[in-house]
Parts: sequence; C-alpha cells; structure tokens
Amino acid sequence: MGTLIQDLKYGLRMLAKNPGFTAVAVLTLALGIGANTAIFSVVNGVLLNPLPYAQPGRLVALYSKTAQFRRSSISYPNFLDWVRDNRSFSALAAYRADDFSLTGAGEPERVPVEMTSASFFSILGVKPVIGRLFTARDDQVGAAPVALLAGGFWKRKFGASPHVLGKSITLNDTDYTIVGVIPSTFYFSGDNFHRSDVFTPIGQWSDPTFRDRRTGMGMDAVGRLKRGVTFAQAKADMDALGRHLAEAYPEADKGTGITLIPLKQNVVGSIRPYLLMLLGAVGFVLLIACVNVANLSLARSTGRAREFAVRIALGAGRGRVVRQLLTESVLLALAGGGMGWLVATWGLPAALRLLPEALPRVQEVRLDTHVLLFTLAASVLAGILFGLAPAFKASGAGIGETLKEGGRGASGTHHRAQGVFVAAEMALAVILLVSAGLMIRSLAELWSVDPGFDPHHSLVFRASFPPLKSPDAARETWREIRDKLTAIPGVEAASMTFASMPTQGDSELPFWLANQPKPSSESQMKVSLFYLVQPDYLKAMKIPLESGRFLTSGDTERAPVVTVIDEDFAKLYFPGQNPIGQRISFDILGQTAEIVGVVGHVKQWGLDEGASSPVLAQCYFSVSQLPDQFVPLMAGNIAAVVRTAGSPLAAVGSIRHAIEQINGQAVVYDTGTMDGILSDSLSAQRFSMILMAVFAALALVMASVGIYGVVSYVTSQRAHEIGIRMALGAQRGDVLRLVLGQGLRMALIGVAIGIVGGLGLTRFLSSLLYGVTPADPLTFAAVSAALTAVALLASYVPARRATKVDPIVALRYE
Amino acid sequence: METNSQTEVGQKQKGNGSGEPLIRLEALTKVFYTEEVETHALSGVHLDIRKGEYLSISGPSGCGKSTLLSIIGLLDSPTGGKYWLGGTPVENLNLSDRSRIRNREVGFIFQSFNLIGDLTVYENVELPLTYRGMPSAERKKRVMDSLERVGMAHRVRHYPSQLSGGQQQRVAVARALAGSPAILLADEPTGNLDSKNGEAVMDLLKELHKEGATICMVTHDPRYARNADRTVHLFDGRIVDEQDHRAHVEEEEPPAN
Repeated sequence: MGTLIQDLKYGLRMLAKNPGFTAVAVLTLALGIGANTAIFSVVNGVLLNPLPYAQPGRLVALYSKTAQFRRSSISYPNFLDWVRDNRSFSALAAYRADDFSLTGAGEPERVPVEMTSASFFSILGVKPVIGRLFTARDDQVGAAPVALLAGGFWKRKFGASPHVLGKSITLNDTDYTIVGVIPSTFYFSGDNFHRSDVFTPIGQWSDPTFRDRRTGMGMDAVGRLKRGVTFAQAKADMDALGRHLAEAYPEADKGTGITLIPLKQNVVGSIRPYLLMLLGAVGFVLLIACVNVANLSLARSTGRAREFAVRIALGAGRGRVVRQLLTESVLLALAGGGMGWLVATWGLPAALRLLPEALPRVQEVRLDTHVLLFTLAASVLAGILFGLAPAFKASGAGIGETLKEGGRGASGTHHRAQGVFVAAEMALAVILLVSAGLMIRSLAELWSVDPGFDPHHSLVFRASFPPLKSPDAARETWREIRDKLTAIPGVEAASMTFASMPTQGDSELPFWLANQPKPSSESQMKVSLFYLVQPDYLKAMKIPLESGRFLTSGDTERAPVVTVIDEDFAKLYFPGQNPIGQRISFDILGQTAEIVGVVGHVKQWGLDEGASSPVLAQCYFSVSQLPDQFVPLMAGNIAAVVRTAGSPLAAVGSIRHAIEQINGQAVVYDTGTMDGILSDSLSAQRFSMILMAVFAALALVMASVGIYGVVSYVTSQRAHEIGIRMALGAQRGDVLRLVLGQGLRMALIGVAIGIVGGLGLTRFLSSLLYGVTPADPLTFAAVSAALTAVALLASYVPARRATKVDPIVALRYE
Repeated sequence: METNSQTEVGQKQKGNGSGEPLIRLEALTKVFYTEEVETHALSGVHLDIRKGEYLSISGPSGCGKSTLLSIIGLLDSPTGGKYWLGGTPVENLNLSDRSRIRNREVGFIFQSFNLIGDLTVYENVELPLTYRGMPSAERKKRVMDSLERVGMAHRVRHYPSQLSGGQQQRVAVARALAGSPAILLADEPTGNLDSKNGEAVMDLLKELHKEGATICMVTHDPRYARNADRTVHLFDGRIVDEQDHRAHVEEEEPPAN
C-alpha cells in the first residue's frame, strides 16, 4: 500500500512536471472516453436497462400475423377470444391511438387519445397519481364514458388540481368523466401508441367495423406472462389458439396467426443494429486515442530511459518499473476519463437532439451509475492499454548502454513500436471512415431515389373535426374543404387523403378479380394498399397518369364505383392485359369497382422500398364513394395534401383559416412539408450517418495528429542522421523525401491493414446499407486516398523542419 | 546555376596539376554570434592545400580546427575572406550548390564514424553515390572497390552495430572514398579508437595518400600529425606555426641501397 501511494505521488509529480504532455494526453483520452461515455449512455438507456415497468421480463407484445405482415393489427373480436382462451397470460390488454376534438374547455383542441383495455396499466404496473384505473365494467359497450388523464395534460389543462376527479371533458361531442390521472413520467413505445393526453376504455367503442373480425383498426396488444410460463410455452399456446380461431372463423382467420415478441425486443429491436454499430465506432475512436497516447508515452519513456536505468541499477525489479509506469498511465487515463465525463455531460444533450424522434426510450438516456462505472472501467482499461508498451520498453532497456551515454558511433534508432502504433491507428481510421463513407453513400443513394411523387412544394396537414351529423354532411364538408383549399392564393392543387399515406401509414384491402369466384377466406384474397383521395390528388402529389383517367368530381356517391390502380397492381394482376375496364371486388367495402386508369407507383414503404416490401399493389378510390358505414371512421380526423407555387409553409396560416371557416371547432395539426416527411423517414439512417461521420472525423484528426507526432518525434531523433546525410551531399529534396517516405510507409501499411479489416467488418453493416455494397470499391478507394493524403500532409511539417537541420549543429552533437 | 558551378570545379581541378592549389583560403574569418557575444572562431586564415598533399591541422581545444574543417568541407560558410576549391570561389555558394559540390569533391571521416545505424555497411557506403544520382551498376562497383580497399568487403551485409569501432571507421573511410572526392577531410579519425585500431586507420590514410589522395586531417595527437606532409598549428583562430614533415622524413630516412 505504501509503495502504491509512493507510486501515485511520484506519478502525479511526473505528470505535473510535463504539463504539455499531460494536457495533450488528457485531452486525447477525454475525447475518446467522452464519446464512449455518451454513446454508452444511449446504449445503456435504450438497450441494456430493463423497461421501466413492473417485472418487465414477463411482458410480451402481441400482433396478428398475416401472409404479408408479421406484425399486423388485431381485430377486436379476435383479441377478446385471445383474452378468454389463452392459458399463458395473467392479463392481455389492447391499445389503439386516435385523435379526438376536445371542446367546451376553452379553445377547441385536438387531443391525442389512447384507447386501452381496462387491464393495460395494471399489466405494466402503473398506478394512478390520483383516482383509479379503468375497471372491467368500464371496458364494455354501453358503459358510462370515463377517461384517465395523462399527468402532463392534467397539469397543463387543470393545474394539477386534485378536484378534477368526477369532472367531465367533452371529446368528440361525448362527455367523459375523469376517474384518474396517470403519472407524467409514464410512456409506452408501440407502433399504435403515441404520447397521449387522455386514455379511454377501448371496449366502449361500438363501431361495426371495429367489431368486424376481418378488420384490424390499428389495434395492438400487450400481455403479462403468468408466473412460471416461459415465452416459448406462451408462443406454443397462442399458436394453438390461432389455429383454433382459423378453424372457427375461416373466412376471417384462415391463414392468419398470432405473433409474440418479448416487449423489450419489440421496442428496441429495430434501433439495436444502429446503436451497436455506433458503440463499435466509438470503441475504435478510444483505441485510436489509446494508441496516440501510447505513442506519446513511448517518446516520453525514451527521454526517461536514464531515469529507469538508474532505478534498475539501484535494484528495482522489472515489475516495479512496469508498475510505476502503469500507475502514471492509469492516473492519466483517470484524468482523461474525468474530463471525458464532462465532455459527455456537454455532448450528450447535443447528441440527443440529433436522435430521431422515433428512437425508443430516449427519455431513459442519462448519465447514471452504470455509465459512471463504464467510464471508470474504460479509463482504467485505456490506462493499462496505452501504458503497457512504454512500460515494457522502459523496463527492458539495456542499463549499461543507457548509463554509459556513449557507445555511439552509428546514428539511427529503431522506432518499430511507434511505426506499428501509427499503422494500427491508420487501420482503425480506415475502418471508421469506410463505415461512415458507406453510410453517407447509402443516404445519398436513398435521397436520389424517385419516391414516385414530387415532394417539393407540397404540404401535408391533419385536422380534427367534431362528429358530423351524417355521411352526406361529411361528404359535403370534404368537398367544401377541397374547394376552400384550392381557392387559397398560391395553392395549385389540394386533395384530402385517407387510409394509406406514403411513408406515414398504410391500409390494405383484400380483393379478388370480379371475373373469378370469391375466395373462401380473406387469406386467399389478393391484397392492395388503398388510398381514399379527391380528384386533384394526382396533381397535388405530381404522380404521373400512365393510362386511362384519374378520379374526377363526377365520381360521386351516386355514380358507379371506380378505382385507379398503379403500374405494379397492373403488372401483378393483369400481366399482358389492359386493366382498364376490368372489375375488382372488395369484400370489406362490399363493393365492386371498375378500373378506369393506371398511375405511377409510389414508394409507400419509404425510399428503401424494394421487391421484398409486404404489399406493392396500390389502388385509389374517391372519398365520395366511401360506403356510408365507413364515413364516421374517417370524418373525425382528416388529412390533406396541398401543392403550392411558393413555400408550402407560407400557406399554413391560410389553410388554418380556411378550415376554421368550415367548422369553428376544427383543429389543424401536424402540418409539415412532404420534403420534411421524407427526410424524417430517413432519420435513423441520418442520425447514425451524422454520428459515424463525427466519429470518423475524430478518428481522422487523431490519426493525423498521431502520425504527425510520431514522424516529428522520429525525425527529431534522426536529426543527427539527417546531419550526416546532408554532410554526405543530401539535398533538401532528399531529406524531404526521406521523412515523407517514412510517414507514407507507416500510413500505407495501416491503410492496407485497414482495407482488409474494413472488408471483414463492413459486412456487418450490410443490413443498414442501401444501394451500396459493404465492399464498395469507390468508398474504399476514396478513403484510402484521403487518409494517405492526410498522412502525407501530417508528415510534411516535420519533413520541412528536417530540411532545415544544420549539419554542423547535428554533427556537433557527436 | 547549380550545374555550372559543379562542372566548373571539376574541370578546373583536372587542370590543377602542379601550379594552382586544390584549396586556397585567403584571410578567412568566422564569427559566431550568440546573443550579445561575438566569438571569433577563425581570424584571417591563409592556407593552401595542394593536390595530393597530406595536411594535418593541430591545436588546442577551441582553437578553430573543426570550424576550419567544416568550412573547407562546405558544411559551413565563412564570415569573411575568400575560399577557392579547384580554382572556383565557393565561399558564397547557396546551400544546394554546397551540397552538390560537397557530395562530389569532399569525403568526410568523422571522429565518431557517423555511420547510419539502420543501413547496412553496403548501404552506408552507397549513400553519397545515391545522392549523386549514379546508376546502380556503377554504384555497386564503386562501393565494392572502396570496401575492398579498406578490407571490409566481407562485411557488406552487416549493420554498424555488429562491427568493432576500428571496422566502423574503415567503413567510414570507404564511404568517403567511394565518391572519388578531390579531398578527404578527417576530423580526429582516431579519437574514438584504441591505439591498435587507431594505428590501423592511420596506416590506411597513409596508404591512400601514397596512392595520390589529398587529405586534410584534424588531430592533436603529434604522432599522427607527423604522418602528414605538413602540419599547421592553429591558436585562437589563427595559423601560428607550420611544419613541413617531408624534409624531416627525408633527413631521417637512411640512404637507399
């Protein structure tokens, strides 16, 4: 213990004695450890920490499984059968997101609502702040309307008053009695779950379509496994249940099943590869930082060779000298770690701002004890890592030679360790830069993809309306909306849009060709995406008309039902035929429609949509021809796309005014440009691309500083040799070539190793790439050339300095 | 014009024969300025070295011997005075010309050998020829000739650290000879050697001189100084004495049979 304290004291004294070395080393380590701390805090918060619910390991996400989708919405009747017949779950709860109009409490307001089963909160172990949760009696048709408020909404709207219980709020013209408040810290990540202000019991919803076993109205489920039941047992149980339902209700359920996914995997599964890639990238950055500091320490240990020779001559064992040097390097690393923690404290909020909004569990990302322990471990490990080489070199130095301080006669020293380190950090930098380059090229490729429509000068918005009196009134309102929007100066075209919306939401319809017999079950039907739009939709989206005609204002509820299909639909179901005039039947709509036109295909599933996307066929219907029974489902929340001559956002005020003119209680929300929506669809790729680019830049800077430092040091050590060469007639150009060649040699070896390593490692990125192979020769060539150029540049400064060596001074040193 | 000056020295040297000296220094001065102190290392040195002559320079430490040798070897430039090498004034040449002439006309032998540790014996000897841009085949021939001349041809693949001090100095001599310089400059060539190896190196220089080499050697060992044809004594940057050993040797030598 005494010797350790002695080592610590001496180590601190030595670090204080060399403030320049200490500052550079600490700063380098701070950047490396700071970046690691920041990314680890995200990995810890998102991937490692358990979900913030009671016994989260027993929570399972449930979906319906169809031929096209592994995770599909559940029909409510099926869900009720799951609840009744399963033997694996202590409780199952359904949830579905919607938007309601809040009226009677000041200005009309659109309120995000989550419709949930009564057991939803108890499954997650959430307790109300005040009041109670839903009961089974609340969760059925005909029960008195009740609501739970989210904590944030309760504070904002009711000043967190405890007297809110028993009061009512009016949502979509229905009065709901407030029975409790959910903690403001509660959140849940799910495809059909959004940050809601109000929760209502889903079982009260009596809409016939919702109660139709053939339709899933955007409803998913979560369940809690019974104690002692494993995930595999539950899966087998639900598979059996799915088969039973398929037999019982073949028309709706034949060919379908039930998908179970552990809730955590369901929440974070898609972001996992990105985060692991970033963690790997920062690991490389830390390695480069360690190599840099090891190089600095090696140079410094050469300067201290005499000190260690004296220590060894006085009886210090090799282990003692190694320990002394490792103590110093760990001290240095801890200082770097401390500063890295500060870097992370500052950098994490900035990094979080870059995170895609859709990133799950972002609220749980923080610098906590786990992260602190990680930083500490990373610091100690880094200290040992970069301290080992100098320690062994110093302890292994020949005492006699060092102490004699003579024995010269030949100039030149071997700097193999430094050369190896520089090559290593260049190799790591190549791998990082290639990875970043591939991500950048992927994003560029995605951006260059034609989405099938023109996203520029195009605005999308939503509006919530109070319930409309009748289907005819709704249709009249929709026509009025179109007319008002089109009348706005600067608006070139406008169309309402329901059901599917490119990159934002999908709705599918099973169908069969009218000249063929109706399949016995839905699973045997063909499936198409469907878009409910108005006549100007094609113009508003700038989708090309391939043949026939698009929907017109004459396609009203009183006219024969028509549809327009896309080119993929035509290729898939009418190969080599003219689809125009053909008829297709839609079971759920209860309609047969005549195809009147063919339009271009739109990338519904995002810019990276490919042949493997679940459904490619697309068809368009006129909103006016939507059967009466479906109108109430659509009428409360409308969406529209508007094409403008100028900046689309400039039209928002006029749009809002136009909607308010139609209905004073309507609320416009979610306004955004189509460009922005497309950009958001690439947020995960952009986020990882930006961070990869930042880390690659950091690696590049560190590697160039590393090569500069080593070449400078080696050149200073070779001053005598350079003096001899100049005495023998070397010109400045010869010296310049000598030093540049040395830097270039180390860099090229590193680049070669990096290329090999990169070819091995970038394979793991293949699932994150688009339009570019992991071994993309252009990226590899560009990165290699860039790094070689940087290495040459970094070597040029010491090389220039070397040409100024005065042979007299260098030789006088003899 | 770097090429011109280089050619000029070579051409004049060839016609040098007996009359014009290979090296002529006139009123050469060298002043070092350090902060506010002026140090006069050389104060008006006049010196001629004839082709084929073996000159030794001696004197106490700090008298300016090494400075004089550096100027003669074009490693340094004088503060004042004139310097002709092979009849060409070289005191005001730029760095590049000095390097070029040094490479062709001067062979250095240093006290501490100054071989490059990372290069083999062969590569060390080849180095000045590489800087001259000589073709590889000719370089090889010259390197091997030089190494054979100093008895080190069997060690071409060795590194300096694998050789004794005496062997290292022989390699250094081979390096100096390889370029067929007009003059060999030796700065205390035995200073780092034991007496046996020192003797061997001095014998080698004597032999080279007999074969026609012009040698200028700094030494303060009177035994070795006497090997030269002539010794100049420097004191405080001036030549204060000059001894011609040839007459002395002739007097001591017994008449030939």
